[in-house]
Amino acid sequence: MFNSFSLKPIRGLSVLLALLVLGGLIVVPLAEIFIQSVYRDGELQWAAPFRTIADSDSARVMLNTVWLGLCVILGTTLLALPLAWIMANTAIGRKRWLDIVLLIPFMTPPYIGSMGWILFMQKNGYLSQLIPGLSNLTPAFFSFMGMVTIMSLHLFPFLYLLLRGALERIGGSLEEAGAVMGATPFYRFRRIIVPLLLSSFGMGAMLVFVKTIAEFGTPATFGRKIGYDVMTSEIHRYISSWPISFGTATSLSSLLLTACLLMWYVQSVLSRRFTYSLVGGKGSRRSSLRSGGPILWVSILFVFLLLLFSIGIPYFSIIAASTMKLRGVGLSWNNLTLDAYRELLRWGNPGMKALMSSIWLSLAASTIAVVLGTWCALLIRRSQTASQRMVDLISLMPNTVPGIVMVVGLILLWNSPWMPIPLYNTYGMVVLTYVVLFLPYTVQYVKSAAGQIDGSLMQAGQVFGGRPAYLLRRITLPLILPGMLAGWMMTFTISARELVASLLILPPSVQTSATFIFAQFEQGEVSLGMAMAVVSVGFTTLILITMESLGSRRKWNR
Amino acid sequence: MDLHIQGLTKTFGQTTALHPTDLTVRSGTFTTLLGPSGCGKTTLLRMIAGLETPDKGTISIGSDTLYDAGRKRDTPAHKRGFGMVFQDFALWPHMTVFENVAFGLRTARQTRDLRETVMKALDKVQLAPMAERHPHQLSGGQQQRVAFARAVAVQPRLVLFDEPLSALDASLREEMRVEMLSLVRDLGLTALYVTHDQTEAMSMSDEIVVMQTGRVLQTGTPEEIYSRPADPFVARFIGRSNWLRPSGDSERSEEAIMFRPEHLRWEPMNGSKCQAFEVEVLQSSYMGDRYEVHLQANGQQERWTAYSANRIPPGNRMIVYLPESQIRSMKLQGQL
Repeated sequence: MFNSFSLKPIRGLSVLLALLVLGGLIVVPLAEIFIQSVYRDGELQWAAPFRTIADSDSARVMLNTVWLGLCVILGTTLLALPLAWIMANTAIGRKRWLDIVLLIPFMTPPYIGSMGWILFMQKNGYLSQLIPGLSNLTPAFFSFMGMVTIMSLHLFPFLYLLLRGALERIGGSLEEAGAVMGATPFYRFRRIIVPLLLSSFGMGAMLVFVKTIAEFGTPATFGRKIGYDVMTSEIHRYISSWPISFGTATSLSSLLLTACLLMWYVQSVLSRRFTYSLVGGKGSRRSSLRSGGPILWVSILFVFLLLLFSIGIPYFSIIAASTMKLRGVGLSWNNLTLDAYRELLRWGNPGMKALMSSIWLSLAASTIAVVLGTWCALLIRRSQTASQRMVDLISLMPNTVPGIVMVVGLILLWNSPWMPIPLYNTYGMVVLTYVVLFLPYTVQYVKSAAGQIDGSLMQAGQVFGGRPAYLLRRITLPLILPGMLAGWMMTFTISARELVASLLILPPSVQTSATFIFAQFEQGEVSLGMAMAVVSVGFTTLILITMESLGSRRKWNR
Repeated sequence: MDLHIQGLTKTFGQTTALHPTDLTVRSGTFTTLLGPSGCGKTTLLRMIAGLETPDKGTISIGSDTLYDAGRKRDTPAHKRGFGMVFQDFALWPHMTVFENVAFGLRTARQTRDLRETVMKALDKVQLAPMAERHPHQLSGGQQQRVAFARAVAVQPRLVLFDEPLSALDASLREEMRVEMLSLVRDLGLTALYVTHDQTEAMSMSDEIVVMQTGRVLQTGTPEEIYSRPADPFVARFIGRSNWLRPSGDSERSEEAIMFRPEHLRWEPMNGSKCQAFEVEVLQSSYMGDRYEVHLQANGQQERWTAYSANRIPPGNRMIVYLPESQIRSMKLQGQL
């Protein structure tokens, strides 16, 4: 509504330009995957991807992937449902710090978490050193079940947040209303709780499934160790190690892409049809606490064990491994040393170089992503026109698409013979990849910040004589600045830890912290790799905490 | 400088928000646009502010044409030099009270004596000590005052009020009404005020413009509007009304006849000609200062309201008297 007079043509042009840029960055690479998988030897072969898959043993890999996804849904449900109930219905839920702590597993890069578990559970690992009696668990853990466990412990916070939200609101007035209307507890459970919870659970389960089949970190570390191949790890294998087969990788990518897009489509349809707006205007009151005594103690035990398994064990292993003097000696105080850190952070050391290039690349990527993302978010606004909705859809697409698929698409595009811009195999390519992968964060943060600016604030500015440029500088930018900052920090921290893009895109002989950790772990230089893991997780976490405290100290809050 | 509006029209898709409308706001007066929600009053106000583009017509202030569809003239909102108080106040949350008020002065480049001007405006609303606070640290009434100070600090040619009191609770609303009116009078401002609250309109305005479904039904002083409504809708919307069945051919009549409850007498009046009606008392409600009595008169369709100093038990049958000078008849304007 505002800017409706003089800025209309500029705005239209801007949207067009954004569509072009986003199209080139995101849509074309993804289209390239489909095109390359059906276009072989100069002709169109619709059956080509299926033939490629039938030729290799990809059918097995696909079944593996789906089976893994289903089992992880089960695993996360077993962890998240009791936790959600506990947090919604017992006194433990009043502890606010738990909310932040429970986000740690999800913020831990999966490859680092998996390495922690491997170190803990492997033969002569920390478990058998701490409790020798349990050493026969090792073979049982290094199996499919172990992989499901690790991934469930990483992904359960997603489902938990959704379920808890639903439970809290149901437990309040909605259930009480049922009781007042004369419904018995069982009837209330059947007619009120289950239907309302089911939609949240469906959402969460689908999200977990997509995240699982798109994940690369755990399959690349733990999965490889136990020989359980999934699509992401196969795509990586066909691109990076002999026998290299781009064709197979492309076909697999197109299948994975299709699967994820399909899931997202189904989810969006379902959510439109079956989600009830459970967010009332008034803050929902907590239902009266109905637990005490034994239930509380069991709950405390559950939460404690969950934290131990999802955070305690991986982080203990990583820190212990990074401070180990001699591997053979194992856990003991006189085997403690900070040598690995000293070695790592020595100027000129490969580790230090990797860390530095990580920081520079991430700084560049996050800065560009913020500019591009803010531009898109401001264009989208309330997505009234079709082109605005298009910008919205495309700019959020990298969040829908598995990272490895996006990366394969970018390689296909920028490495193709007709590409005039020689970006491939340069630092620029890495930055571009990070920007594309993490653009959705900025777009979402800025969009939500801009969405909170009431239309009348801008109209007031107009009535009091502000020109459009002046309004942008004095009203819009200050109000979306927190969103921009959040997007910038998020992009920075995530790019600094990004594994799959770095593995596939980095120019030869360049390392980032993630590839350094990966390489050191593969080569058995565990303490150096884990020291890097601690440093990289440590400093990115520090940044996130800084951001949080900055955000809460803001003087005005809407 | 008077504000002149001629033939202003606006449609949104299929619905007509404003039929061709003429309106004059005389300089130094307090004019109110009154009507139920959806009557087009806010649309009209927003078009005057430049926040909405009309389809047809002209808007001018003094000799300055702000909008003219024929000559393709459309001064953007930021060049119209008006002040406005928004319904939700629309204070910028990231700016202090001082900066909120200073905004209009800065955009107008009136930065000489900026501090004094802003503080003077804040002084007027007794908020000078709060200048360095942020809007969220103020109460609703204080936010309202800041919004007012912001609107008048630039000494605008016209101040627009978009239901500014509707976000406040009842007791505060009354207090702010009195305060705002006295400030407008003190500063000698020209004000155009939009509300759906007849009490606000009656108590504040020099002139009231009653609107319904995109049309102006009547313009006049509050006294004129109340005692001589030109339209049945106006009569019903402002104050209470009792309706008489028209004499003569009853169904086809193009006239509506009404009187105000306070004119109904329980005894015949000396010196003025009265009509007498036989009524049955349906209900008496005690209002503190009087009783409100609901009556059903013989031969009348609608129930009436009357005021009485004593309680009259329901079921009583009695005779009431109506001075003929207080009976108003008005033309029915189509189907309303």
